[in-house]
Amino acid sequence: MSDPSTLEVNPVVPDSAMESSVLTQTPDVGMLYEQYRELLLHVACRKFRVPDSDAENLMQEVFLAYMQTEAKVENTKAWLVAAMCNASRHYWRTQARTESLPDDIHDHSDPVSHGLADRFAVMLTLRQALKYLQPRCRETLYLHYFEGRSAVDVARELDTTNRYAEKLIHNCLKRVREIYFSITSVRRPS
Amino acid sequence: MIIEQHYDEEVLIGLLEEADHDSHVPGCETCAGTLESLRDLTGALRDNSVWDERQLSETPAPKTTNMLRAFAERTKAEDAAAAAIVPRLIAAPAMIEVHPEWRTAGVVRKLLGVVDEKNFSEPKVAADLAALAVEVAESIEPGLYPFDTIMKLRATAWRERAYATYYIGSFPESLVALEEADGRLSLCSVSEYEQARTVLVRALLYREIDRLDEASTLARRAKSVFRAYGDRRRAAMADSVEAMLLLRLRRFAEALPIELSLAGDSSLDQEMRANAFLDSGRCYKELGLLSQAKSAYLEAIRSYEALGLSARRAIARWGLARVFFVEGHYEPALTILQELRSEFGELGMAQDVALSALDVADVLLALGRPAEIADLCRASIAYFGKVGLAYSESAMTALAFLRESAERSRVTPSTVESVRTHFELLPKQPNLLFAFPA
Repeated sequence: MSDPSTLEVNPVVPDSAMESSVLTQTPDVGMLYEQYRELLLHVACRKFRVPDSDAENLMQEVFLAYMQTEAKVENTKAWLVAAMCNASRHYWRTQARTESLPDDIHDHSDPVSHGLADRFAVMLTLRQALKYLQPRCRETLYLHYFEGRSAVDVARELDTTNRYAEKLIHNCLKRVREIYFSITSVRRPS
Repeated sequence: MIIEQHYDEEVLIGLLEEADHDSHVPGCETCAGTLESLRDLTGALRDNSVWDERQLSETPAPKTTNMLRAFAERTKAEDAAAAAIVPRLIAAPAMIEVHPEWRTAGVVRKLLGVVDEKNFSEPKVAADLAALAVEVAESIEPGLYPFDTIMKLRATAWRERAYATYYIGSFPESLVALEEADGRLSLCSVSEYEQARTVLVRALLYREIDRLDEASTLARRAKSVFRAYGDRRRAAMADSVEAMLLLRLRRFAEALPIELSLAGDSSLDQEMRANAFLDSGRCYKELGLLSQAKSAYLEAIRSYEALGLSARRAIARWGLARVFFVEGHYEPALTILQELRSEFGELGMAQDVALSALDVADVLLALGRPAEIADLCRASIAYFGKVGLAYSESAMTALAFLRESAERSRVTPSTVESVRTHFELLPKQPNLLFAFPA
């Protein structure tokens, strides 16, 4: 008695019924646009270096695509951010035909990695938090985390002792974290 | 009194790059959580977008807001109008020639909605309606909609056509339809998600035409896109397709963890989870873990029962009967299989009537009651004579051979197996003649 293929149950793939479409789920797409615009602009302009003048057009394409997907969207933010990445990469593919790509195009996030929308949201908020920091603190974090300089290098750059530079790195990180949480109102783990 | 001690932030910052060497953090949820949050933050500080000085406009563009709202309104209006048109169009498809105003995206969407309803109840009708949807979509004046919108509409119609033709076994047509869908999506600026949906249908099709490795790669690719778009349900479908491929390759140990993960995912709907329980049962059985196999099948039976999916419930019971058979518990296996035969008959599942009868024959042989096989065959022959399928004659010939062998007391498990092989091929090759074993 061997198992015939009849015991296999196919997953139900198609579901184009409009009853569950985005258009029936979303009362006002204009509000959605206003809600997610800043995040999507951040993704296109700051992450993918799309010029501001073109980013708004890409956003229109993304929202049209969103409205057109007849499938039920489970996570609007993730969907829109992933689609914005898709639109931005397409933008550069098209531009590459007429001009050179940005030098760091390969650094751009892989849109298939998970939790991308949340990570972009963290970056957007962090960017705001950095604005509230003292310039010296900002510079410290920039040198250590973005440029990847050691505490010794940071000390040399800021003309201070190694020990103080280490302390500065720690304190600035703590401070920016405090500001970050005050912006998001997320309770800090004790 | 023991007071739980935690590291302060200062210590955790010091541990950012060497937490692996610490003995406290891995076991402390609070400290591990804070460390994770610090890692997220320092990870973000390494990203160029955080340091980008450019100021972006904070004011939403009224032009965009208005355009999107207008598009949404137009779509709703089109769909409302299409609700009255589509029943008439389905009744007389040629009417599209005299009503050019029916060539709208709304009509295509409504048609595809009907295709979706008919896919499993009337698959041939679904395939025909999908062809009609393609015809309407392709004949819409392109300038009436944004470029991506019309291309994606056409691609969706082609994809639904691909699925419907795949479902009825017209694989070459399905392949052509997939090519058409992909061709249109490749022209769009935002189409990754829709492409992934097409990829998933292609994976299903490739499974049927034995391009299993490619199918597996496609399923994984689709899953990755669905996850990026936060679509857990479709990611689970892609998982399910991959697990089915592994089942087909008889790689049960690899399929089982995927199935168990799907079965245990409470965010998925009950039907998907029931399917995963069913397939887990099969994996367990093949791996010789019979007790777990029974539990999985029982779970699937319960779920299908709750959902009112009687055909699927019958298939899960069939799996359970097979486990009883392997365990040597022939009487309960026989009871279930005999019930299933009549159930499949009532459900009109002709091939399953035959295959379950062959399983009954196996059990009767194991019980030392081969004489009863002849009566079993007579009943099945009568059934096939009555239902009048395209392959009824071939089916009856094979069953008659088994009946005669039983009457001559010459039935063996391999006799039953040769008839079973014939029945498995029949739906795909209705003109296949029964090859009498030497």
